[in-house]
Amino acid sequence: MNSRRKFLKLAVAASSLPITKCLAIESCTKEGEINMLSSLYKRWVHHYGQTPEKFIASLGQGINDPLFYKAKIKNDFLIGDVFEFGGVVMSKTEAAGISTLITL
Amino acid sequence: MLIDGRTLNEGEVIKTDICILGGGPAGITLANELNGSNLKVALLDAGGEQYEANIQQFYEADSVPIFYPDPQISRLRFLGGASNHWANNTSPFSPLDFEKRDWIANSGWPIGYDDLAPYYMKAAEYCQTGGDGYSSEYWLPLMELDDLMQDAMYSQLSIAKASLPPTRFYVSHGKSLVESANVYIYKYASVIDLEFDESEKRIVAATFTAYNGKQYKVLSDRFVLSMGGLENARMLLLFNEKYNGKLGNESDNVGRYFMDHPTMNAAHLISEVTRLDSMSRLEGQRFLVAFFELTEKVLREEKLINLRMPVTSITEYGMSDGISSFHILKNSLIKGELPDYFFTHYGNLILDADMVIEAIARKQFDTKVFDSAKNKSGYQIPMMVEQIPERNNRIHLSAKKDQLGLNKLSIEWNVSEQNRELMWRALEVFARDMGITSIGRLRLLRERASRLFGDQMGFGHHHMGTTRMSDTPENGVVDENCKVFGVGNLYIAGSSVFPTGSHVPPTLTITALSVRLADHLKGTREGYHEQ
Ligand SMILES: Cc1cc2nc3c(=O)[nH]c(=O)nc-3n(C[C@H](O)[C@H](O)[C@H](O)COP(=O)(O)OP(=O)(O)OC[C@H]3O[C@@H](n4cnc5c(N)ncnc54)[C@H](O)[C@@H]3O)c2cc1C
Repeated sequence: MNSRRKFLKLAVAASSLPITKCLAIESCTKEGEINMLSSLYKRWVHHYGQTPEKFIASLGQGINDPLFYKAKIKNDFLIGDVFEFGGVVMSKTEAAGISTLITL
Repeated sequence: MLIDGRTLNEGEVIKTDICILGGGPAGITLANELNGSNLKVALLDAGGEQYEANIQQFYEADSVPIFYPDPQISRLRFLGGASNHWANNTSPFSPLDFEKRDWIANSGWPIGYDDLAPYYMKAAEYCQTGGDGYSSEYWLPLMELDDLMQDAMYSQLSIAKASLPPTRFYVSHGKSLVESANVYIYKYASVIDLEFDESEKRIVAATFTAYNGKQYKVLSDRFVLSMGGLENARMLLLFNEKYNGKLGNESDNVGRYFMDHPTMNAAHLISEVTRLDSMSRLEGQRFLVAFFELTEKVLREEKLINLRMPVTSITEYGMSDGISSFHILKNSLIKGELPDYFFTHYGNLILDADMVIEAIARKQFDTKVFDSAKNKSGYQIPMMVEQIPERNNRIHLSAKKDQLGLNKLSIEWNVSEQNRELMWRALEVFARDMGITSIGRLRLLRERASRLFGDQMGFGHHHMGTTRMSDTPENGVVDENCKVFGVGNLYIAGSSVFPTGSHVPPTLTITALSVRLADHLKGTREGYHEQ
């Protein structure tokens, strides 16, 4: 549990981009924002056929390292493993990370 | 010398070596290049030295597609032409722009980049953008932008330059002509007819009027049509009616393949990289702009069109998707319809309610709007889209006539589905590079698509393609020297000869082509016996 929380915080903080702002998820208290996250989560599951948590777990412990996380995101873009949500073109890993904020 | 057409005697005949029909950037550049040569040159322009409403009205079109800018407003019918209100944004075309691309029907110039490259330097002098070129290797370090895209895989930064204030071609380059010993400018000289010789292979005379009911003739060795991208085709269509398509229109190409540069904000760049703010800057009398574009490699591999993508910093107010969605919803609901992406628009509206309310109340709450306008919120990409040449995008003659008895212009134009799809795909590729370089993330405004290609579409007002250059008369109107197929001594200058229009504003290339044409005209002068 602890390490998942750590990762989720990292997902927000280590992402060098204001992506969360763009998806209107600066705070998870407002209803509309929760809906947005939940929709992101569902779309991700639908698209990849597994849960974001499972995917992140499959990346191993290294994902808790900000540099590894950033490198993974960059690599997703390089190989074209991107996920478009609300028009925002994100990496698969970053979209997975952000969508799991719903359970934070 | 400057001569007022209205002062000529009825029936007066002017004899000259080269007659240039139209005094915008294309015609004025050509005349300057011929200035001082041993050729006698007459340049006829339909207008005077400044705007006059009663002359401008001759630019009225009969029918123009919805959302397409009124050509009576975008063009200017006096010496200097549309350069009297252009933005002077310039950069050269790329080598790929000239190539035949198998994924773009009707692409390919009969000349290559290397044929035009030597003329771009001189063209920049005419556009007054400086002799220091457009190379990004030179400019990006000076703008401290050289490492911004070092990890990029698919896109790059390129440079555009504008002179400030923008160069008015007649104001800047007319004086040398007025003082010239061999160039004669005729103002208020509106060309209404061309005359073939008996063989119907050479033009012998151009007829013009000074709007006074009188007609005058210019007899010349060679003629150059330089009336702008729409008028070149309109006039050629008119002359062709009289001469059964013999002026480059045996394959019905005149007026077809009409292109412009649609401009739009189809994506937001979400980024906190402040260096993006220095992508445009003032430098003395010039404005420098670095813009994103796709690399030649990815264009080839992914079979895409290119986009010219400068960025401008935007505020929360400017970025509001809610306001855009509000308009879409309102327009549809009034008509009793539900728009595509209804729920996305509805969501935008709810999330952006503050902005929408502010916008509605804008008049009463100006200061509040300005407050929110201070909150920076990423970057807008006012991009220019390359348009694919399509045969059915065309200008043709209407049955209605103007006061000179000439058929008015009608325009048919749209952006094809293929073009739209290629634009979105190009943006998707660019979005990946924004992630790779960690510059930011792109939000594609797909839900706006109908408006982006509708009432939110802007235009370059770049009229291109209507008398396209080609290897053969089957596929074009002029040859690689800009000479009209089937006529020994009629040439065309201007963007109407572009077979494809790139994603780059046309005037630097128009000017380069005029300089090249002048070389050709001077070079073929001695022992000149063209068929
Ligand atoms: C608002 C606006 C902004 C623009 N900004 C840019 C930019 O930033 N960068 C860029 O590259 N381009 C820009 N352009 C396009 C640019 O202005 C044109 O590419 C350029 O002016 C074309 O030059 P031209 O000589 O071919 O035609 P024109 O400028 O149209 O000149 C044609 C000339 O022919 C004359 N003429 C017309 N009919 C007759 C006749 N029957 N007889 C005799 N003379 C005639 C006219 O009086 C006129 O002087 C812009 C255009 C507009 C409208």
